[in-house]
Amino acid sequence: MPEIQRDASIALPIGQVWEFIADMNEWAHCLPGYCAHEMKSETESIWRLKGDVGILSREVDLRVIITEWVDQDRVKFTLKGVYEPVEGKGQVGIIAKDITQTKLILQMELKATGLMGPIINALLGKVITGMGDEFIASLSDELLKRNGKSR
Amino acid sequence: MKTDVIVVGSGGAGMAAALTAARAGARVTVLERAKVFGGTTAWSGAFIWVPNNSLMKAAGIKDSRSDALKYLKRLTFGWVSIELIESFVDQAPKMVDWMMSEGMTWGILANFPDYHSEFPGGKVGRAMEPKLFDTNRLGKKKDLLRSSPSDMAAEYSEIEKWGGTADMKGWDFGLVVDRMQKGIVGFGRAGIGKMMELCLKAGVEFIANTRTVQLIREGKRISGVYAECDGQKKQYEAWLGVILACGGFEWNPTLVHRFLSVPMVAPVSPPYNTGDGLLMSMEVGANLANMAEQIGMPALSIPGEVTDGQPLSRPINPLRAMPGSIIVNRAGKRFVDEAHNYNDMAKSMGIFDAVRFDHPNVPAFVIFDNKFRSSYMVGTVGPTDPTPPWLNESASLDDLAVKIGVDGKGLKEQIAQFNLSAAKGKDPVFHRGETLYDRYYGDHGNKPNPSLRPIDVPPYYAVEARYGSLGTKGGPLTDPVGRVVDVHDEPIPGLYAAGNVAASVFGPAYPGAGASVVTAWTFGWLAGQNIVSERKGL
Repeated sequence: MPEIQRDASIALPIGQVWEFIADMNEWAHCLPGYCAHEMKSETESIWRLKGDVGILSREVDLRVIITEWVDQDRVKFTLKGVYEPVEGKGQVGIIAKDITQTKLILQMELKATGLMGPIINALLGKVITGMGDEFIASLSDELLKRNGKSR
Repeated sequence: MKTDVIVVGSGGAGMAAALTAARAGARVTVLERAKVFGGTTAWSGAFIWVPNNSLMKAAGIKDSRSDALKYLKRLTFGWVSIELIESFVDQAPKMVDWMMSEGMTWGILANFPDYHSEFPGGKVGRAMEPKLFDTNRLGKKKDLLRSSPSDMAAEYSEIEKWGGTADMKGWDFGLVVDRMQKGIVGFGRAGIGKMMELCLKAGVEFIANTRTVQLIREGKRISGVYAECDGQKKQYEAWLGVILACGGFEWNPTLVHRFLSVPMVAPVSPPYNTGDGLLMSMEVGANLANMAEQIGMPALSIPGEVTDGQPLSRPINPLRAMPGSIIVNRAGKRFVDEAHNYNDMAKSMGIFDAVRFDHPNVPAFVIFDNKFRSSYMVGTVGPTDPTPPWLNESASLDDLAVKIGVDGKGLKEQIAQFNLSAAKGKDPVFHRGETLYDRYYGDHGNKPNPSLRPIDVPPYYAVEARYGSLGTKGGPLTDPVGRVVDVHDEPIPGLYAAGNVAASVFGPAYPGAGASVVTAWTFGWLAGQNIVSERKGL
């Protein structure tokens, strides 16, 4: 199954990083291909992303459900295509390196099901790797910018 | 920049012309407008339709020059010069043999019928497909081979054995994925990739991201071009001349309205075919022909799907031949045999009603039921995938009619009438499923007619069938060796044209699978030879 794990060191205390991560409205736009999102409840949201798969660009609606929330530690979630046959899960975690530095960890796996699943999965690996790299960089930059800093 | 021959465009016609001219001893430069090479051929199946070819003979399939001519004369109504038709019939098999001697590989599609195999001279087995190609053979230029929205690392003959598009459960996706990961490609990318490999070996120079904008004349002779790259205009001199191979004008709405005069709105080709070659040749006095013709294709546009910055349209093929579906107009009525070949079926979409003064068959809708939905891919949606809004799922035909804006009473009457006969495998109105072509593309597990069964299992669905085009086929008129002629039918020295940029040898028709790629390769091959031999000794 296509999956990624990425981490970044942020020159901010864990509390500030968590405050940012805990509110998806703060970082939604950092997600590559972000078009819109809608909160359905405290744990459920629908995200519209524009993804590039090969030479195609396509809008995809994903239902995200938070399955675990541990303050200043991690958020686990599942995701599933509203109309696309894709499903997966992931988590965003933070660890205090010291009182001024925090490690931000992103882990996600995503797979396509259905008849064309094997072919889409062969293409998805590159897609989510690229997205993961871009997302973690964008999150880091946004966090630091909001706190008057840069990488 | 100075060279011997400039080829404008890097699709099938351009590659064939470049290879042939290079092998005849010329320095050849290919100028491609896009950032990648391969043109419309890379998006196609890259089948070629070659009557009386050597692979047919080897397979024991009978054909003859006279049958090929009989068939093409019937299809072209006498509107295309017999010299041009004879040139195609005589030279296409020679082109194939020459290309194979250079390293091209094709497989025969022995079961594939001509698009009008029922006509005198029509046959089964004239189409050929390219063999798989390892893109690593292109070296550093591997990533410059144009990708396709329907990339599939398989051969059509394999897919037939696996169950065809009617039954994809038997497809060997593991093998396909393994090939993808190794850089092995099929269909259009295979055909054009191999051609590109041969061109590179022959020393052809490829320049991308460079749009040719004007032909240069020295006296009466075409001696080069002006081309633009990143806003900079540069002169390219070619003492032997220029071969136009830059596709048609299906992406240019102004030219579509002026020449096609039909509501074609969904080109199914890379968005670079905007009539550059047509306009340049008109500027130097080229005669034009076949301007109202195109390779029509009913098309599906999935909302939000984009390629190269433009909306993507996909062929509704072979979906429309599958049993359990019909195509209706705004009145809810059928208007054609839906399984008929795309070139001719699409003509029905452009019919003009003189009294109402409009085109009654656009928009059109493919209507199908839940049994169909559960059996076949619809665009990119598989039988067990979630149903997106653009499939218009509805509990009843009344609800469906409201959703898609067609006459509900008309639709219900149509379905009822259709179902009565379809239950017996018959279509007394449009005779769907009676030709070899219709039956070939249907579901062979459906009896007695692979293309017909009642539409009666709710819920019901509809997708819009848009009037699409694989490419226009009108443009500068050429002589039997690909020279562009002027309004007096005299060759314009130094100017050739091949492929969709030129007036097609097939006139209004599409004789069989691979008709457009074969004209590209045949007349590209002829142009490449003759542009060199024409000036020899001078």
